[in-house]
Amino acid sequence: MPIKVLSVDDSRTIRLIVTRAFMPYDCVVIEAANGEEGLAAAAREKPDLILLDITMPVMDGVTMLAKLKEDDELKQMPVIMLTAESGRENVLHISKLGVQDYLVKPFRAEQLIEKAARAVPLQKKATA
Amino acid sequence: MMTDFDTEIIARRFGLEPIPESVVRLTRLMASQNADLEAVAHVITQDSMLTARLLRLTQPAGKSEQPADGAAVEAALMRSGLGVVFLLAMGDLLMRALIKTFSIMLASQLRPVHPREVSPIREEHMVCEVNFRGKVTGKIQLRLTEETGRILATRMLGVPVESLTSSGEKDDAVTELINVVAGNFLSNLADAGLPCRLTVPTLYRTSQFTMRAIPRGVSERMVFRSPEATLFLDISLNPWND
Repeated sequence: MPIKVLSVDDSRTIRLIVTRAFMPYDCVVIEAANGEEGLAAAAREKPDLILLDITMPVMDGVTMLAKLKEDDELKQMPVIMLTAESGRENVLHISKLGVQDYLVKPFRAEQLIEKAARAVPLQKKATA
Repeated sequence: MMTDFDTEIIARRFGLEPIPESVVRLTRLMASQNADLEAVAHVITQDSMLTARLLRLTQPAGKSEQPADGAAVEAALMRSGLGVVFLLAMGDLLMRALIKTFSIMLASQLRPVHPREVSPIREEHMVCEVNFRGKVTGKIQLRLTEETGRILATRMLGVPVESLTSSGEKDDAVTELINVVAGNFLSNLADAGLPCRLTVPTLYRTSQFTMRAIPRGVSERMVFRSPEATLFLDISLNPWND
């Protein structure tokens, strides 16, 4: 079974970069453009890993994270914050809500994969 | 309340970069508001980039560049007032955020150049704008040609130029670029004790190349070049929030 990664970011560019980063691995990347869509996708798809931006329209990432943690079915899903916000006080507040890891934009694809591999068992796709 | 211990634990756990030297310098500069002019000048003269920018910002139009010594820095500070010190420090953070973002996300090495070395954009061009409010109020604008926007988007996405089919992809990439730069900039400001909130970036086209300052604000236009792009980065801020 491929690993399901949910990318929640209002930027299509970031979602494309994330999808591209996971392409060599046995993964399916599901996309959501805000926290509300992200919560719905998390409940529907039961991803193995969630990559979550903070500043988004409709529902921001911190609100989505708090709602995930209130939901008994979803609260165990590992979340990696993927955001440009790195002020220490903000990071501390978010880490107290419960996150697997935190990756600050700008980021390299290798950094993302390294952090994701600590949360889920990533396997390279078999080559034909 | 966050302690130094909390900060250290968090930074180590998530592999966050240490607060840059520029933020430390910013804090010193803020503290220097109550210090005498000589002390402020001393902090600025320790950094050749800050010194060059101060002299450029405060130089009366048409005058040739002054030698960058301590006396020239003090004279420039007397002419301009302390608002320009905020601008220098914050511009420094913004510049570093832009250069870092280009290096990491586009594998492109930007270098700051003197605005006089670069021709203005005469045609309609892209402007991506983001505002911030909090301890300081201000605005950041990134200006670039359509062609530069296209090149940046393809580099960011790692796709060939011909595969970029819609202006929506280009606009989204440029908007995300300023979002990342502004987010980094604001995080450093927060760590320096100046928390602010960002607005959602807006992107528009205009033929108006003049920098638009906020009311009672101080402003600077910075220019950057890489082998494939020229970018104009405007910052305008009101450090007194009046």
